[in-house]
Amino acid sequence: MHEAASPWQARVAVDEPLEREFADRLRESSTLAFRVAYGVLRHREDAEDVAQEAFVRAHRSFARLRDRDRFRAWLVRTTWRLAIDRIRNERRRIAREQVVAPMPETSVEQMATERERARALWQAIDTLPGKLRMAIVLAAIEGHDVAEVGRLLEIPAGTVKSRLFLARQQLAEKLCSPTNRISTGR
Amino acid sequence: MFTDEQDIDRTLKAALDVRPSADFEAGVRSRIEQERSTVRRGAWPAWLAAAAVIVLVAGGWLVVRDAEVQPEPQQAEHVPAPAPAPSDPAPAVTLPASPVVAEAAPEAPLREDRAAVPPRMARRAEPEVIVPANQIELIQRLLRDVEAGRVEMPKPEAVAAAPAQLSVPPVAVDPIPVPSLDPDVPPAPPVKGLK
Repeated sequence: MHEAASPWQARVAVDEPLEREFADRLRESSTLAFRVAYGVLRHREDAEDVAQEAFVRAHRSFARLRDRDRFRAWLVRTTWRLAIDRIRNERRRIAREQVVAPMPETSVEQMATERERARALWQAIDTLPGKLRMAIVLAAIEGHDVAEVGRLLEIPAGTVKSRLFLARQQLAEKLCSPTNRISTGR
Repeated sequence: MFTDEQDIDRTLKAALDVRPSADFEAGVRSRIEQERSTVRRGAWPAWLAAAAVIVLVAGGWLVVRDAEVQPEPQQAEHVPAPAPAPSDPAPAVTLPASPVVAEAAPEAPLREDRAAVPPRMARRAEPEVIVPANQIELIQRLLRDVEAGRVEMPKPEAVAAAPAQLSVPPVAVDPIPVPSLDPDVPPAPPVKGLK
């Protein structure tokens, strides 16, 4: 443990092994936190701000969050809550940036269509109940299967499946034409 | 707009395929460092306030201790007046015989017994003050300054004399005339001052 030097005379003891562990968690989970915040806010700067704030809070309580799974679950919950609070506290609505993954040789018309689809999708997701919304966003983040979503939300895999089923069903009702709706039990 | 649920999933996955900026982690570290420096700066007023409270408590403790160590005033007729304490420049006061003192006479034997007891045991049990380890030096320095006379502590006030007896003349209250309930009897005239 070393003391952090500062312009003020008071010194703060820094636990180096803890700091190294936190740095590892930060590296592993920064994208996750950012994507969770972006899934709510759909604005890069706001999402970064919220995700950074979640990490600062995690650092305060890191002594009891050293377990990897526990840390990630806590981080997801906190980031989500901070993002929801940010939306509620906003005074003026700013245009939400809708980033669409650039596709090779996409024409301007196609880009406009993709933007419109993404906008409709996010609007539909925003109307979902909180638990379904969180499940569908986490499941859409790359690399997250049902088991991983269950670990992040600290709920059984069966509950995750049922929430995803309901979320997809509701989104399909809003976004798909009646003849094309296929309800899958994934 | 969307063909099916898989189409929705694909679009959502694409929309969430985003990454934070390159300086995201640096931003987190900078916020943590900023919070640490805020805590350090904020700790100063709290530390000073705590030290001030400790100084006041220690000062009050010294005052109380000095007041307890001084022996109680004795009656001239039963026990000779005690010698003044070294820190107290004023000579001991011999109380004249008075009704108040005479009333207190039955307690004299108890005072004599107390005088026979070593002063240390005559003191009331002092409350234990738990001092944090990092503030002991501060208190010891205060005590040394007080003993060396560098710090003036307020002197304990002299024992207040018993209050004089008040003579209160008896108060005569005239009864209020109550009007008769007999309808044939005329009502009494109103009392002056009452409406």
